[in-house]
Amino acid sequence: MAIESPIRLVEEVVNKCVERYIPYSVMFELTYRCNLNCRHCFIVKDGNINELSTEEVKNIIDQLVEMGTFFLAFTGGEIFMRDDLFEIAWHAKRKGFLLTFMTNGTLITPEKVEEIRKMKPVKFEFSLYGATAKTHDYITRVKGSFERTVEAIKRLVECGIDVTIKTILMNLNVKEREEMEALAEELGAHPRINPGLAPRRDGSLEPLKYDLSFEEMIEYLPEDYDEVMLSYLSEKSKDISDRFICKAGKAGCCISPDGTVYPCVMMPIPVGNLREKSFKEIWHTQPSKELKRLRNLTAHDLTTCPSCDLAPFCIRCPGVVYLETGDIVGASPSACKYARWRKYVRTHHGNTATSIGGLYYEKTKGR
Amino acid sequence: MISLDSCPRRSEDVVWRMIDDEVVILTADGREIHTLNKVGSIIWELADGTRSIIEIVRSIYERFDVDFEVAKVDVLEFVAQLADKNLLHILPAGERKGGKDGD
Repeated sequence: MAIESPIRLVEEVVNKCVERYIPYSVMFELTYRCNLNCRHCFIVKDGNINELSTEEVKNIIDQLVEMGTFFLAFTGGEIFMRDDLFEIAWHAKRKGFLLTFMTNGTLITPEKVEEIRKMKPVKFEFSLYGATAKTHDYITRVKGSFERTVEAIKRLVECGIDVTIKTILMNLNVKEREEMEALAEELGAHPRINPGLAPRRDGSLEPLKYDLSFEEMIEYLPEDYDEVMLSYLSEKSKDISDRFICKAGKAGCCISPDGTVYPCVMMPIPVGNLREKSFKEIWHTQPSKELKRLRNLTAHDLTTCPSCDLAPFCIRCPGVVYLETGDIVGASPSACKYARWRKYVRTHHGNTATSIGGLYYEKTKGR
Repeated sequence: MISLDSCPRRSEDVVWRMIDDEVVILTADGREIHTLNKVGSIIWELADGTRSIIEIVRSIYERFDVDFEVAKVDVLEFVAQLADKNLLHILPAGERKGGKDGD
């Protein structure tokens, strides 16, 4: 009856969840309403969406306990637009989940801070798009939003909450990248500052006009900003092609405000609605043909990626490629662009340490 | 001090799920993970604060092909291990919870 707890165990458990289709991690979009109006937002503003009621959300949370979900993230829209957020979150807390709140923080009042302090979620993730009010407020299109977000971050850090600041790098804010890292450190938060804009969920490429150009990437991105991710992926999957398949629809999913289940927050392929079917039916007993297709995808189904010479440098997200092209097995224009950049900086600078065994030439031998 | 009359109770600071007949436990900060094998998982499920260790030993003895004395030593050792890691709390004999499986 031994207890096992080595680090590798996490991966073993995750692999088991993938094999058994246990949704250990779920993103619950509680609302699409938002008090900000970010220029790059990928959510489609739909005022007619019929949001799940408090009781419906609680019922879904109860189902997730039975399904084996550990990690539950509340996201939006802006989650604090829902008056019943704490009622929902306390219900989830009592049912035993590791809770994450994703928010812009502008609606967090001192009373809410106190409630959060009592609840002690695992973490809070704040969206912050600049190191200055001028940049952030320009992107959110709401004057004063920077000040309110930073204030909320300060208050939660003071309460001992684990806070991450998430920043998508765009041509609007990339010049402040280093200042944003410094600001996160000053606030006592973890920075997660990355490029990676996605098209809007309805397929509109409008947000991509803010994406970094190749020249901006070379000028402003540190060469090793995604080294950890790239090393992890290649360590995990020695066969490059295996890296292009993810856990979406197997061990994770996203639930939208009207109860529609998607394989991932970045993959708007509806696989069922929780107002019509139970989670167990959608996920296990009556999976849709779309979900079955996704689960059965292998690297061999990919049309061009496994044999591409950029593959060793590629971090391809199946959801983003679907949004970009509608073809989940095709190449992702944005992933190709970033892979080209990685290859370029590693080839031209050659001073980036890497642990990607077998994929790079040793520095001493040159190319 | 753990005795056979003590009542183990699962910590409220952990999240656990049954995956393939094995209990997987995550600590509240999500940074520590533990898995229990089949027998350990049964003990974990029984450790709801309403049963004493000797009652848990009897359940294991009735269910598995094991000598009673061996089961007693093993269960005691296992409960002590989990208590050391703050995954279980040990209630003295007089403080057991009222209902069955109050979680």
